[in-house]
Amino acid sequence: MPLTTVTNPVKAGSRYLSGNDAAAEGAIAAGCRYYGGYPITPSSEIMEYMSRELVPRGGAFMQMEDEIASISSVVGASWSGAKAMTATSGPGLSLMQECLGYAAFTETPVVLVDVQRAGPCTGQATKVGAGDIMAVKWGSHGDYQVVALSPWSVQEMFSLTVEAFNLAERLRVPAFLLAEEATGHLRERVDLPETLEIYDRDYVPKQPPFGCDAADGIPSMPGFGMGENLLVTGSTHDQWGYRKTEGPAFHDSLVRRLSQKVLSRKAEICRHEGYYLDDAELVVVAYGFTARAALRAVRQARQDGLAVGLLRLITIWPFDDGLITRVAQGAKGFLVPEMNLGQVDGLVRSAAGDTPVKSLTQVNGSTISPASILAALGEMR
Amino acid sequence: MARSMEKYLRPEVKTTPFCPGCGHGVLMGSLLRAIDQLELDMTNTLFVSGIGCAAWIPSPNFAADTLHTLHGRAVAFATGAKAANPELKVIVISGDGDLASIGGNHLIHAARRNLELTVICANNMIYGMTGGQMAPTTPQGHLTATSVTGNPYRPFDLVKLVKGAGAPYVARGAVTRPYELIGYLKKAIASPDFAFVDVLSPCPTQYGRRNKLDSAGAMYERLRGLCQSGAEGACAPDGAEDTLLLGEFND
Amino acid sequence: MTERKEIRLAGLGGQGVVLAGVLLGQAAVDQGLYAAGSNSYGAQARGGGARADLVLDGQEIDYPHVQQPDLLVAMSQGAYDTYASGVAPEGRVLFDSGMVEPNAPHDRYGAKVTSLALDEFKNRQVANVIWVGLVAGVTGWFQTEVLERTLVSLVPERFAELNKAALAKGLDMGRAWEVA
Repeated sequence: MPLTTVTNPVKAGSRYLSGNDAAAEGAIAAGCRYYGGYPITPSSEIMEYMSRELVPRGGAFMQMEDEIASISSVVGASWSGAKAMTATSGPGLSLMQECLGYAAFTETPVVLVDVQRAGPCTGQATKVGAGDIMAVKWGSHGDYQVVALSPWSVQEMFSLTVEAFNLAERLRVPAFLLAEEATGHLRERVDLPETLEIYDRDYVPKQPPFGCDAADGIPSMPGFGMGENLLVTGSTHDQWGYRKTEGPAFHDSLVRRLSQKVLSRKAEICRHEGYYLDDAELVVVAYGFTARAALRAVRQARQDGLAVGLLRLITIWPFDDGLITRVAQGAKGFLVPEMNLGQVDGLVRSAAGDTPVKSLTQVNGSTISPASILAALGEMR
Repeated sequence: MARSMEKYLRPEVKTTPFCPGCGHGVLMGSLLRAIDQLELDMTNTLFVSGIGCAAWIPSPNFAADTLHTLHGRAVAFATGAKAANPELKVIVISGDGDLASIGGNHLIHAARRNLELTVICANNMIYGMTGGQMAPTTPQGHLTATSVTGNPYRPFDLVKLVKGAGAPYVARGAVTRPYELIGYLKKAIASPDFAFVDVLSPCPTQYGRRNKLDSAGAMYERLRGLCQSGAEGACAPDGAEDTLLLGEFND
Repeated sequence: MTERKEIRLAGLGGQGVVLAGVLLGQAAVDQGLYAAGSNSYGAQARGGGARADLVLDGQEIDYPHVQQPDLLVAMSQGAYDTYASGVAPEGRVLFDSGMVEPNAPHDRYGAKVTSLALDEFKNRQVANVIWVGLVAGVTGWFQTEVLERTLVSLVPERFAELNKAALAKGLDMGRAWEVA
């Protein structure tokens, strides 16, 4: 396995960083060598950081003319052999959807940081939201899979960016850091490690770059300039990249494999944390910044004698429905607080069986408070 | 294709997908001759194309790395590929609808940035693959599937557009003058700058049959008659648009 | 300091509110504490309301936003009117007595910090550093040597001495209030 331990190239130890700066440092630590982007609030600090730091470290930075060009350039750079990324927010994500499908279909490792703001549309550009949960998974046409990780701290803005790169390179998929304005602009103590585990892409010369025997296989990832005579295309293709836009078999097996290579690895990909779950009757299912309010609320509820726990989802896509089903067996109810109108709530419901699910939604441009979650828990008793 | 050019083609590919009389085959041959004369290292050459007939010139025909991208985005993909690996010679070849309509913004910004890219526009003045709709390069008054009473708009002069955006090397050739064309392509590819070549290439199937040019020969005859090099006249002949003026347009 | 503490600095854009919050947060981390800071400001770059919140704790911080500040620094009347009523019952309010007419029931301390910066330091920009010194002097939550070191690391070298003097002034004023 090409997972290697490397010395952290950014300053280790206790530091006081903003979430966006931490994501940029995570990218550099993961070995990012190309950034293509377009400014957008509240993600722009990531781009500004990369514009300063990437070139001195041997990478390349391009400010592109729009988000369509940004992600297109990132895909091009990835095929040139660079670990590559962009960062954006909702309106930019909407523009990137076409090429997100291209990246998924051509199995191009790319990392996208989405610092979510209050949408839809221009919405409240400087305010927080979490309304892109479904957009990152379903926004491009056709069937495909992505990976999406949800950081709840500045520490995770760093560590999950590294993990997003590792998963993108290992699985050959687009991987999202599905952050929120509140975390991107939060400044917080981080404790950065001296060394890191980094995944460098698998490359075996002269292997087919777009297919393998296993129905959920991940092919070798070559790059331009390696003498492979690559044929990369967004049309349906065979294992060597030749367009196969007629017969049904090629399309069916390709689309299924691209989904299966992610879905069959949920056990390796999906991560979560549990707090006070052992005897919990009511379980808050939360992610991102909201999970911190939920943890505060759960601790206060425990002090009040309530048997309450927190299930924090770190991986949003692929969605770990098996986890929800398992936790549901010991729970009398779920509470799902979200800064959207219930996007993960529906996923929890579909996996919760007979366990009742209560949705707590807030889309006013501010974070959900511990008090709101505590009140909702009180109503569920 | 001449035998001497076969080394640049994938042995698996036996035919091109182009219609009878399409100029893109001539452009393809001219491009390979330019590459041959430059003794370009194909292992370190990347061909990027978008969507449309012209996007199939390199993909899958050329025995090199090819990146067949989304409609309009070829130049943006090429920018990232070149920035991440400056050792690559990156050549974009795509159609007029692809580069100048849906991808027009990418084209002018790449010219402004002056990253070392060669962009070749296979300009047939129509949307061929999708069935003969009006393009941003269709001459005013001409007939297409979406302008059955004649195109009411002026066409882009791509040479002026890209030159205005800052490209240091800009040329226009035509498949009816392949030797001049090869010269322009060689200069563009050898350039250390952003270089753009607009290549007039007839589309008898979609364009000719709608505009009383029923045969490939008639289209070639018309193009041959209208095109004039800048060196010969410095302006287009009477009745022809500036968009048919050939030559190199550099300060 | 081991217990969670919450600080809110509020004023107008251009008063250095955000930088003061960053300085206090960085100093807290430099002395081994956990800190979480968040800012709030309008979409306009200058002149609107500005707010910097800071949570300090001896252990990892679960909820990083200020809920009920233990200390409010109000650098403008608008900031005072908006936030004074939300201060914890045992909390304290510092305000610029040259700009704010106080009316909240809290243990409070007024100082003409803006005037002081102009009169004594001939530099309006150091007002926020005087405030940082005041916060540290009043609360005793910050190690002064660490705070000074952090300050020097964050400001341009040619302004280091000026800022150190402003910090010392604020610290003296804050300590004096504590013993009064």
